[in-house]
Amino acid sequence: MPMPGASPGSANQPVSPAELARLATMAVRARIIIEGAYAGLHHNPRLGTAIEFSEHKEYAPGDDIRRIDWKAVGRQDRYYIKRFEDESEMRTFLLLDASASMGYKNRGVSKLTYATYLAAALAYLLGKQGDPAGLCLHDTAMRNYLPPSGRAGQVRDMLQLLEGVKPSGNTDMGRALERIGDLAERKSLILIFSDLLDLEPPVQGNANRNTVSTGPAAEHLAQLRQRGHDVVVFHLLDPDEVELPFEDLTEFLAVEPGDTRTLLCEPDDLREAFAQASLDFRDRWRRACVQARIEYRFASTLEPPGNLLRAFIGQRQRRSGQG
Amino acid sequence: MGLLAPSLLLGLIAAAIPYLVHRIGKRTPRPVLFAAMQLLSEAQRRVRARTRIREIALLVLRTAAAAALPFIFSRPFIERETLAPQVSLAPQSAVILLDDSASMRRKIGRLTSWERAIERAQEIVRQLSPESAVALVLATVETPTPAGDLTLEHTRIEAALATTEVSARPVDFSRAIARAQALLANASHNERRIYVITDNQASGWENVDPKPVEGSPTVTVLDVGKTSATDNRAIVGLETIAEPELGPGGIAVTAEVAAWGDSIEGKLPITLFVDGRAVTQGVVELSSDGRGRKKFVHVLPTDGDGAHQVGVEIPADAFPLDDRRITSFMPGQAPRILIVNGDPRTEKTEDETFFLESALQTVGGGVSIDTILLDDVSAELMHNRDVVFVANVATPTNDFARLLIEHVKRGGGLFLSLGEKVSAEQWNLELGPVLPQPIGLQRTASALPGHNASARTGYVAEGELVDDRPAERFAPIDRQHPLLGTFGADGEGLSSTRIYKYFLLEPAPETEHREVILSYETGAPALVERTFPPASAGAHDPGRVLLLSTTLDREWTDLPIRPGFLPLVAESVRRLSGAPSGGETRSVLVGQPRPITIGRKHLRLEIEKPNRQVWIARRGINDPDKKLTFTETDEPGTYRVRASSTDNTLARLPVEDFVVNLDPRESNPTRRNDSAVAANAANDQPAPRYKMPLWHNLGAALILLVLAESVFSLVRRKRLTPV
Repeated sequence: MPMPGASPGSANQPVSPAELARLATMAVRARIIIEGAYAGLHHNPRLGTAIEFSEHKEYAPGDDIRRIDWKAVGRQDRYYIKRFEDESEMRTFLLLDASASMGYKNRGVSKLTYATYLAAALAYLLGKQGDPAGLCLHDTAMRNYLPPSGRAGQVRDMLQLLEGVKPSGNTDMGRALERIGDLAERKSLILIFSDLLDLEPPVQGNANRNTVSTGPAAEHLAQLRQRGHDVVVFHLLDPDEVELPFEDLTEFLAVEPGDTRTLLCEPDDLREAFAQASLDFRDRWRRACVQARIEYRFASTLEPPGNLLRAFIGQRQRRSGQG
Repeated sequence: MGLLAPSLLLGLIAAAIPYLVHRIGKRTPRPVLFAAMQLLSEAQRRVRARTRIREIALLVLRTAAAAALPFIFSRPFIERETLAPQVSLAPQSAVILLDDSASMRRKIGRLTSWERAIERAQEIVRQLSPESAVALVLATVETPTPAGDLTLEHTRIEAALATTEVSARPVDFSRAIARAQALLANASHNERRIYVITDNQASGWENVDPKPVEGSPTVTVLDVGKTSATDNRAIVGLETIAEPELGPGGIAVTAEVAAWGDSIEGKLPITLFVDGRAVTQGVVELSSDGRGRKKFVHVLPTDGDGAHQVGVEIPADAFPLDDRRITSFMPGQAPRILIVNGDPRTEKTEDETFFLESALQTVGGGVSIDTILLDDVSAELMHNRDVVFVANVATPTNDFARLLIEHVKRGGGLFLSLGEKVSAEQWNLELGPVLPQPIGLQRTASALPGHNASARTGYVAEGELVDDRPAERFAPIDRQHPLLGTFGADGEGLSSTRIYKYFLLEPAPETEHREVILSYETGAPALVERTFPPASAGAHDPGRVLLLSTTLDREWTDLPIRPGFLPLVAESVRRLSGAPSGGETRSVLVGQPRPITIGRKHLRLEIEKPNRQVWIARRGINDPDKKLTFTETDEPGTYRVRASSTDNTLARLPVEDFVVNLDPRESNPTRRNDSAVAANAANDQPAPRYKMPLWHNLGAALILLVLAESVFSLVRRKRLTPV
């Protein structure tokens, strides 16, 4: 076991989910993920983008010296840096789908575990930059909620909550999004971690692939975006949900409570069609998000979370002109 | 179908195994809690139909394979009649006599009679015991025997059967059976049989005695035409003659159509075609005897230099070979003839040229004849004449002689006949340059020792006054000469001719351009030919002069009233005018010989048969004209002739092209009369039956089923296994 604070990978390389699982605490995992994510990036942990000037803040070590307001220095003889509206108080909601389907795992870690790694890393990062972040765990209803706050123990509380989350219940993303919509009064960054399964009505066989199905969850997402929130969807699937790996006669049973669906089949017969169905499913969500101007990121739970975050943060930095 | 071990069919219960395995013996599935049920359901919906079909196909394959095994063990069979007769089972010496005549090409259902005959012959060979000796003989005239020795190697006969082809020749069973009997004469077995496999068409059996002869091999006739209909429609005759009224190239084509069987009366469409292209269509009406004639008139193009293939065609029936017939016709061949009459008479029959003119009318082909007296001769009248006859002209004038010499040197033909009025001295003087031999003294025949001058020998027409004067006859003729080729071997039509008086001909230097064609018994020349080659090669045909040393009327000979007179005159005109010898021989029947001459101008002759095979004959450089007989007239159609000259250039000789037509006897589908067939019935006992096993085929089917199942499963796995 590597020592806390030391990266288990070499030279800050992104660490695989299986290796992260062996680490002691969520705090360590979060730090390692972030270090891996920032390997090769310009070391500026800010996620925010300059939109509108808000206030001056006294310079503290770690602040970007390029933001020092030299006119204020001339007037006050003290160092101030400019803060902009979205970064002055960027409230972030981390929304985790903790339904039973997220607990599925065959190889590596479950989707829920993977989601907690991502959420923890982001909570750690946001805490580091002093941004208020909140956490919401939901299944059919909101199970746990930590409102966004910039207080000192907020990150610790979030990590504790993430460490103890167990998959259970059915998915009702619509209700969760509706609730978040109510809670987020100001423009916020809403990060959603879900497998998005059973969140859209089944698509008919001859459905036009250019038509994006809009289930309740997709509609709620679009509404959030319309209200000015910055919404990011982390679509997480187990590798088994991308390519059906099973052999021999198998009886598939639905995992979520109350779902009585079963399917007896030779996986060989379905493998090709399943891979295509999975691809179509992801494609539909990607197009639905693009249409609603929502950032969509897909990840298999075999992929190192650091890679996913590096791509995510890198793109954010490029967008804000800081990268 | 039967089974040798039906109890083993109980094993068919095994056919239920795949189904039972499918229904009962299912494997225990592995339960898996799976989140993406939504994706699984969609995948299953996509492949449901395909999977179901594949499952059913696999189940059927496996059931069929399971059922096939006990079915094979029960050894199924079917009973079949063999095509070979019962009598072929005993050890014997046998000759298979195959009717390969044209009528065997008639189609009966799916197969022709020939194909059935081959099947039957193969069955006999297979059924013959190993110690039986067998030979294979074909029944048509002049056809080589494929396997003409009795042999115990039955595979040789089978190989010969596989390669033997049906001919278009007519058949003669009396000769064929005699050949087979000769083969069996020294056979080692007491049992000797001739299996005649035929369609039992009556033609060809005329000379066969249906009653078996004591001690001779037994003839077993196997009828492969039993089920054939006896109706047929055929073109049995075709004649093409010139029709001068239509202008140059005008022809009249007369086709004779015959029908047998059910539809002998009625109308039948008939098409005239020229050089392979249909030019007109008509209808031929068949009378109650099934016969009908149709005459077409047509104008052939005259710009070509070759013969035209003129034919007629009726709609094809089961025997299409006789539904088409062709002739070869050379337009513009009507010779223009001038006769100079040296002894005109008021009494028509006593006129010098009466018999000649009558004979010339029969030449046909639109021949034009003008008869004049010596005083009327002019250059204009001589112009463009193909043949000039000079009959008993007393003293040819200098101008007349000059015109004749020019005519011959231009390539024209000249026929000189002598008589009482001829002045030999004047002829030799004026016509010396063209005379084949100088004319000598007159000779009157006298009774030779042993000859009775008044004896009535030879042909005497009814009511004829017999001339009792002493007479000479012609010496035996040489049929190889083109001019005499149409006469019989014994000179029939000429041999009985009586010659009372003639001119002796003076000796002349031997040259290749002079030839005695006919002689008298005394050896004196009767008909002499002299050829005048053109000054330059290919300028024109050679000029020819024929000199008859007696008269063309009955004054010195009875030749004009002999049957040979007409063909002699006709052939003389053709030879002198440069037309091919014997117009009627441009068309022969299948199997008939065709005389061929390689002339002096050519060294090699090629004949291309309708099947594109080429027959080649050569002549030595120093040899005279080479006379040959072409016998490979196997197939109906056009036979094209090419010749290479001394400079080795091969060129077509369209005037020598000829056509071969089917023997009309082969068209008559009338079968042998019932009594003849009945006489053979005792031999044609019911064919033996044998059990044909099916388990081999079923075994093969099982292997295929298992293979199909394996391939099916393998392909499915390969396609679905993730890489």
